[in-house]
Amino acid sequence: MRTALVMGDGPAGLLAAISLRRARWMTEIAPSRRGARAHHGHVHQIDFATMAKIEAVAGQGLAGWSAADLLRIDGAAPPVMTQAPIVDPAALVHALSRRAIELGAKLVEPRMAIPVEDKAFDLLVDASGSAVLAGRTAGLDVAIDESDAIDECWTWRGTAGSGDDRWTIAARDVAGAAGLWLTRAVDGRCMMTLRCADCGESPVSPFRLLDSVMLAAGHDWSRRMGKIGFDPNPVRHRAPFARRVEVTRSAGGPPLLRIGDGLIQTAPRFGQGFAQIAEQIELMRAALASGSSPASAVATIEASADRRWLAAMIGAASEPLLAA
Amino acid sequence: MAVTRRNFIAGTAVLVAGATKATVAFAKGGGTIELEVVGARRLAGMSGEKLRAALVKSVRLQSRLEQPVKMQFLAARLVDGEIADLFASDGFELASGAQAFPGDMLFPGDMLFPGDMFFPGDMLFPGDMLFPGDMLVPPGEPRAARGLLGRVAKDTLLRGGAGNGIVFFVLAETRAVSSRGLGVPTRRG
Repeated sequence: MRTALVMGDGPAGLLAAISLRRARWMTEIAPSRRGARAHHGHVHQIDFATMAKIEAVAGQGLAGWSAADLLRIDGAAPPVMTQAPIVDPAALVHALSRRAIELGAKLVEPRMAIPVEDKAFDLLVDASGSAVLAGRTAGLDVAIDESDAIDECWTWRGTAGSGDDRWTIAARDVAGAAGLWLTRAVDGRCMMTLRCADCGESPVSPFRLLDSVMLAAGHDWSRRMGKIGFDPNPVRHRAPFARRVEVTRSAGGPPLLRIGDGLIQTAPRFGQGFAQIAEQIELMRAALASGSSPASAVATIEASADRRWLAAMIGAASEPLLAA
Repeated sequence: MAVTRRNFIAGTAVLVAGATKATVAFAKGGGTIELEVVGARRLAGMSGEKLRAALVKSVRLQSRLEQPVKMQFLAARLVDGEIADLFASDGFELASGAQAFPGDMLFPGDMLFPGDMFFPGDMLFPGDMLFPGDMLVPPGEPRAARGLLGRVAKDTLLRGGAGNGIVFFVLAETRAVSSRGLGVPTRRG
């Protein structure tokens, strides 16, 4: 039986481990050493198609996400209500971790570097979410390509009273905010994420933002928001608009497959990241199912990351034209 | 073991009607790159492999910079604002004063990306960072990936007085660059 080592226990690593187990690989998961990451604290809004892909890998009935009312506010246009999945990243990761273990994946000690020459493995999966692990590894050269444009998010957390109501508001051009999410979880926790190209050192007050959203949302939704209170200290996440990490190796050894944020990261991240992971896992599963070599799966996923990088850069290039 | 960090900026621009040259302007007085399409009119009506082969022969870049610049070159053919063909080069370095023929080696056949492959699954175009609900926009709405690029390219071409054609994008590796491309009008085909 072939053996794989998956480094990283986030959504990418766990979905990879589940896919490998389903393809009957012996699979070890080496958790990342990193602590809580800033962007995990933001609102994650994902489309149903991505959730369907994730459940196609991990199985139905996955905890950590649910469908909720979504109100879209686009400037002065009348708001539109629809349904959308809302993800609790920590709960989703916990659920994926449980599925991986149930399927027989084995948790091992975290790695300080990628064991690129360890012949005990037929495949190495770096899903550690950054270039740090690869950068520490002898025999690997790492190139980190970043867009010049910066993407920045601020998130405030708070409470929204009692009750089991859950909903999300996604707004554009409200109170001068390019983009804004406001969500209420079933337990009354709420979160508001503001996205901007460059907010400076301190963005607009969350209370002013909330007032503007209430005005734009209309009477019924304003009542839903009436009991929201925020902690005034936000979480800030500032990163290049797009980041592509390329790794080349000077020596042989098992194929190194990289997935997740450590391969390609593009804005908007909170949802886009999951979608990209789902795409990469689909490519990996297709390669495993076809019986092609792991190296071909590596090449396919790297090519998909190249396309994402180009798309992101064209997007960045397009903004001045659109603005004009 | 080596870690390098590179910074890229990208842009597009317009080739005015009848012209075959555009200038890639670099910020902070860093110089320019001249982008030329030789025999641009011959590209009219071409598509797919034939267009790729023609681009290989017709695109010229000339550096007026003091420093070498690493860059990547892309070309998209638009029909009624929709991407019909998209070509992307590998990365290459353009030395000061040198002329490059990026097509010679930089439009390999397997780098041909029809739009459907370029934006798998109707994903949100990453450049469209303006609306947080965009992950939920149903396929086919104007803010979907190809729609956005289509708008950009259409806008580029309309400034040049045409609705269909080829738009070029340049990505350059430097913090100070403001790069541009150009659009070449074509007839529908």
